Amino acid sequence: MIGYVTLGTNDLEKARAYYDDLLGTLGAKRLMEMDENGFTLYGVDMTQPSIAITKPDNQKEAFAGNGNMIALQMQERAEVDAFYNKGIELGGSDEGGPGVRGDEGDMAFYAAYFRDPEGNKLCAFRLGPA
Amino acid sequence: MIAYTMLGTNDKDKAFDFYDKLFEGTDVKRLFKTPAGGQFFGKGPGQPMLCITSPYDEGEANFGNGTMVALQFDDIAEIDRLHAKALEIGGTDEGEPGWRAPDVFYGAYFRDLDGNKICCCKMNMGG
Repeated sequence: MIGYVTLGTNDLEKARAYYDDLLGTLGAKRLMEMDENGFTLYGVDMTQPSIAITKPDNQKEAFAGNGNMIALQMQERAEVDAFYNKGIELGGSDEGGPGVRGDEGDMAFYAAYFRDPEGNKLCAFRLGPA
Repeated sequence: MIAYTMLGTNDKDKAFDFYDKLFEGTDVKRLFKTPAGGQFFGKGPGQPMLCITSPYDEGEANFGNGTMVALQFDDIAEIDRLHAKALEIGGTDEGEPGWRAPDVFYGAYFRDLDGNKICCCKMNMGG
């Protein structure tokens, strides 16, 4: 259903550096770089939904949406911790550290939340037991 | 990589109704709700989902500039229909359906009632 999601940036090179390192931990790399708006697409390959950073098409200032978030699924809780720590270490800001939201158990939602340096909110989660 | 993406709304009922109407006739349907009353839409297990929700901080929702969710379809006639439908039910146009890259990328752009930008597209990129 989702082909890709774009996030806005006002500093393309900084954003590229951030997402190179952050998404690199998941095995994702730049799949496409366009001259138009600096659109840069990250993914594992073209068969999976990807994330793009871009200057806004309307050439105005980029800003984060409130209520907007991209959630990335991990296979292990340790991967959630590592992804969150990386997101912060690279210059992101905390929006809720790793932990179970709701009940522990077979369908436990273990998640961590942070924002990229420009305020776009990301979530990493693992669904399942510890 | 993406499990789901959320878009904010200041009027959940109106927003859910917008997406119900938009997805009518496609294989995207309402799935489950979040504890906070956000609504997930999707095709089913294992597929990335779209969730429409009020913001977690309980402040006002706003769209992000530069933020866009691109929804993928196989059929360009379906994309044309969805773009027209979106405008008919209160969305605003952000770009008529057409090939942005010949034979590679067909897209149509609009904003929902809260200003969130949506693209309906077909990608021929080996995906």
